[in-house]
Amino acid sequence: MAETKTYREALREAMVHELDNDENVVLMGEDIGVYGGTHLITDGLYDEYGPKRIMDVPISENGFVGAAVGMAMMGMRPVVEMMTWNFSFLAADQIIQNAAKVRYFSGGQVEVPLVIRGPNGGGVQLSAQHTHSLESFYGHFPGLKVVAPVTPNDVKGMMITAIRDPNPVIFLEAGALYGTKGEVEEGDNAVPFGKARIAREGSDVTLIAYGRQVNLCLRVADTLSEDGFEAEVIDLRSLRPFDEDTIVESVEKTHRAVAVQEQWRWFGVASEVAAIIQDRAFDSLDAPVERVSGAEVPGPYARNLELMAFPSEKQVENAARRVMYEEEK
Amino acid sequence: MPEVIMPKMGDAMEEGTLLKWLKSEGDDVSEGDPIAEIETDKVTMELEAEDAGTLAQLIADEGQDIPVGGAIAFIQGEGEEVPERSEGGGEAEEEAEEGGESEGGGGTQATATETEEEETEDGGAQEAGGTADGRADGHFRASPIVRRLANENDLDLSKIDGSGPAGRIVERDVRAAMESGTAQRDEDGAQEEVEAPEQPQQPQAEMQGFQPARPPEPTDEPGTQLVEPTRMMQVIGERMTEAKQHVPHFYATVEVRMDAAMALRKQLNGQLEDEGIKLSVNDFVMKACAVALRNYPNLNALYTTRGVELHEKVDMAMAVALDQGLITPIIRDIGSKGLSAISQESKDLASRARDGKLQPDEYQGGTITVSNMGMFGIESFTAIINPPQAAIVAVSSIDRRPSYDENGEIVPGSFMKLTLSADHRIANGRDGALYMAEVKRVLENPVMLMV
Repeated sequence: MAETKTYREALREAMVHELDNDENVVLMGEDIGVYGGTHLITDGLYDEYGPKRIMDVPISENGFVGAAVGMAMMGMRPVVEMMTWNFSFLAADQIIQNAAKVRYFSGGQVEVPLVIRGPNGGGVQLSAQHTHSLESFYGHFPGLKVVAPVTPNDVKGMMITAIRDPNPVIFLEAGALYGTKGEVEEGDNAVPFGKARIAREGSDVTLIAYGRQVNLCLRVADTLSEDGFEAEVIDLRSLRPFDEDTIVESVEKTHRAVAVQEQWRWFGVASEVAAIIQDRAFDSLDAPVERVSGAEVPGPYARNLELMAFPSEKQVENAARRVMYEEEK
Repeated sequence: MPEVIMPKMGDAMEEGTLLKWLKSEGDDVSEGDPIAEIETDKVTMELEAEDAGTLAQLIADEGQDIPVGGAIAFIQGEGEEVPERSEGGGEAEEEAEEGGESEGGGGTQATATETEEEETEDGGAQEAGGTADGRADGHFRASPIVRRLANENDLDLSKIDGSGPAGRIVERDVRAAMESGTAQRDEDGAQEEVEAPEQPQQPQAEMQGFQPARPPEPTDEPGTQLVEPTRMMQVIGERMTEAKQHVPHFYATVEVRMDAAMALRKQLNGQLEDEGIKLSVNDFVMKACAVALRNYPNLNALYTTRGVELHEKVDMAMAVALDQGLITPIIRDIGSKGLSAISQESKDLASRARDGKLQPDEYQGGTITVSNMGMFGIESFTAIINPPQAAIVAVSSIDRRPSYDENGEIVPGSFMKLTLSADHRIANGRDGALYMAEVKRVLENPVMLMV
């Protein structure tokens, strides 16, 4: 059974599913209780589960993430909301130095089953300090898992998996897409980490993305299809662990690839994708792997500049045309 | 602008390795100055400057393999300019454009060089195709999938026009060529190119569908160590595989009673002691093999494209083991030389062979080979023919044991086995048997060595 729901509803449904499933699950965050959450993800849960399960916390990211790390070490399963991931820099010490390390330091004796979730990326005119895509920042550290689902079904399934995971999970939501709708499976639809999703099958070029860039790639694929080129679109969705095989198999089929990311080009996921392809599918390549990334500037506020700073359909389409040795449009 | 190129040091040489630069970029060099160390499959040599000037550009990197004729460096004479060289496609275009924009002699010169190079991308392929098609591929820009498809489908990339940037051959170009069937490798051409008598292409074509077993991937298990073959080992491996697969060997073994030869050797060495000469058993064997060839000239022969070339003079190759491989320096016209000359020459060649100091003409062009493993106590062995030669004689150790004399009495005797490997396309069993009987006769009556 599947029902059409918004990304927001699917996310809430996953947390409710696990709140009911495991009494150790608690939600924590700024204004997530009485107020219902800045993005209304937790709307109504305070009334249902009460202040011990749905905890409002002070405006002190490092403090409440630290508390959550301690709770997780003691066997609870806190799900912490970052109002936006931009605020997580304040908590980076707890996330990187403690959450990611405790299991290693303790020789595996102490696990940290912690989820930190919140909207990631820009695109809604929040300006430079509130426009960050932090997947390669957190993906850099062993000890953390990093996922970035884009469909309502995946955001539910991956949140269920994240809460059940014994390790700290960085759960990067497509903040600009909370209102988008899609079919969501009923009940327990846990989606495993480390497995990419083929969002669209194609034979001529592989477009690789995650988060909201997946939707952009799907639109580009439609455009290319009008000219007779069938693009395969891969939604990475899990960045650590990373699914190399799906990319490699796709490129072995299409011989051409474009990696798309909203974050800046340098040291980004797209570079990792390009490196994996040249490493494992070199003899299948017909063209160098193209990367389409955000412009190398702090996120602009002005709408016209902000649009220019993020990958556009045109950029991705032309990158795809270049790797197919077709004329750009 | 004199270009320093990889010299051809021997017929079989296709490429060499630049081991080490002995000069740096910007150094002044005079004619004859050693500028680099070059390694071929046979030797390591110093490459000397043929012109004086400034070593303006070192093109090759240390450790890089360069095809024969490939540029290694430029020596800049007075008032000359260094031509621009580039590897990337985009750069080549840009530089060509820059050259076009610039005015004056220097710029024009550079442009001319660049244009020439671009033109030879097609023309050069034909040239290179004259020696090996595989090498020709290196002259083309082609995507990895194109190279794979060309390999799998036996395509000649020189026949495909690239539609990608800077003429890069891309997948659709290859697919189109495969559909139209216009890019197949030219088999006739390939056969003409081969000068060696073995003509490997032909048997390979006949044996299509019969693939030799592919070696497995290394196990990488603990307790194993992977040793990559040296260039010399690769060449030896290729040549011996080819010889063993394409030259029909037959073998003939004789046992030679060496008592007389040993006695003569002892006597001669006693006489020659003051001159510092000490004859070895192998000197006797080599001389005997040469003397015996007088009556069997078809074993002193080369298998060529247009028939068997019989040689009057015996240029005897002697196998010398090296730490990693072997080499066969040659005693020229051994039949006309006396034992002491042979002895001195063989010692000199063997010692320089071990030091890697042989000149190419000292190990190329023998007419027959002798390989001696007697010093290792080997009872008998068979050797692989060194093409295009007709024969090789394998020399084993001397075994001392009881034997009968002409009166039926048991006396001590010294015996040695010699095994001939001969090319059946050149000689038949009877020739081989009679020849070995003659070698035996000469060695057992060593006075024959004097005539």
